[in-house]
Amino acid sequence: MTGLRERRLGLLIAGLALAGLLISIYLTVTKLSGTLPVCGPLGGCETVDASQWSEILGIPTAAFGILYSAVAGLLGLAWWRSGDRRALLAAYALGLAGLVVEAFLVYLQLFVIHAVCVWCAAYGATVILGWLVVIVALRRSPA
Amino acid sequence: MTRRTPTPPTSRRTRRAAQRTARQAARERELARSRSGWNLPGSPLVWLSVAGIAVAAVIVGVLLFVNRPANAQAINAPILTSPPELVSGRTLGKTDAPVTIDVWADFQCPGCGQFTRLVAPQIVDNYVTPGKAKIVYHDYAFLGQESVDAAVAARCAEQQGKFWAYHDYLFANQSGENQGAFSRDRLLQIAAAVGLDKTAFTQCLDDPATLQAVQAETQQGYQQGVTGTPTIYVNGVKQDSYDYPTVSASIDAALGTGSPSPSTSGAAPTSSPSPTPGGSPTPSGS
Repeated sequence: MTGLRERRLGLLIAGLALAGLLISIYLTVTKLSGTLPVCGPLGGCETVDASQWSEILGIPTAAFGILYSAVAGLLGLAWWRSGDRRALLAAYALGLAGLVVEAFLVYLQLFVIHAVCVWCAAYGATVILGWLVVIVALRRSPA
Repeated sequence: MTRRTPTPPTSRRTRRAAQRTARQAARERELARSRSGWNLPGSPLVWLSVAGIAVAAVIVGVLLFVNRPANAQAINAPILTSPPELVSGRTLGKTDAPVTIDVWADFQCPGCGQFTRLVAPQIVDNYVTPGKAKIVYHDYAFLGQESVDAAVAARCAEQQGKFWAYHDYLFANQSGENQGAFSRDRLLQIAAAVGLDKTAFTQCLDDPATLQAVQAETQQGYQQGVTGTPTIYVNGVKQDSYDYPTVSASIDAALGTGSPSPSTSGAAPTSSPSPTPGGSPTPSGS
């Protein structure tokens, strides 16, 4: 059974998911309230936020990020608490799906919308890093 | 009488120890099962990778489907419309209003759509309708062929006194850039929705003079210092941002009823105009 020390990576997975959760909640709230996300001098958020890709069937795209991050965080916590490798394997599959979707969203920002939103980039970083941590955790807890 | 077989003496402590051992063994069996990857043939990581990518493909497919080219989508009616009683050509508001708000915009620009849907209605309610300000629309068609085509079509609607109605429809039907939202067919459908005379509208669309007017105004904007859209001027003062607090503060300052506009203080804007790619407008059109 994997030791508690190795399982601390579960906390890191949950921490990254929490950061993603906060970002996606912020973007969802701004979208639903009709305000613009604070973007700083880099700009681009309002263009991305106003684009057709910021909603899926009337639901803010960021709202799906809330769901993703919540599940990823719970799986990280489940691994930390129980050491059950199935939680880690589920986090791996979820993270891979998130990674592919995130890659598509980055493509949209760069080549379709022609604007990059720093909040979206930060969220993408939590997805990518979270998945990499899951891989490290999987390697440290061999089947 | 039969003799009872003597049962081994068991204390409560030993029974509990036995139960603990059994639970531990069950946990280990369960863990071993989980480590074997649910008894699937091959590595569970392979199966999970396939599942993860399949889920992602479905999500991307749904995204692409709901954002399919606008040609396949119906024309949306605008939720908010410009008050017809305030319409005069490309101006919205009383001609003698003390404050002039010049809006330089591109019909394909998402920020312009956001300004039109979220900010302009507040300006209309609070300043234009009471006669304090008027909005003047200017073309800065720089995002490609459909920007130019939409601007031409709006000028053709203006010839029939329906510029603002057409303007509202265009912004309600934005869908990507140069992906068919403002194809000729859809511009004609919008014209029908607005109630324009089709023959006159079509003649105007094909008139090179209309295209030249769009190109000339776009060039004029560039020379005047417009570098992105939407760019807002309040009584000739360029605004750094197009959000309502910034623009309304400038209008109040111009009216002498509020504090000076924060747009001139050098503060970082929260909604700055989208920059012009390449630094200069390249209105195309043939």
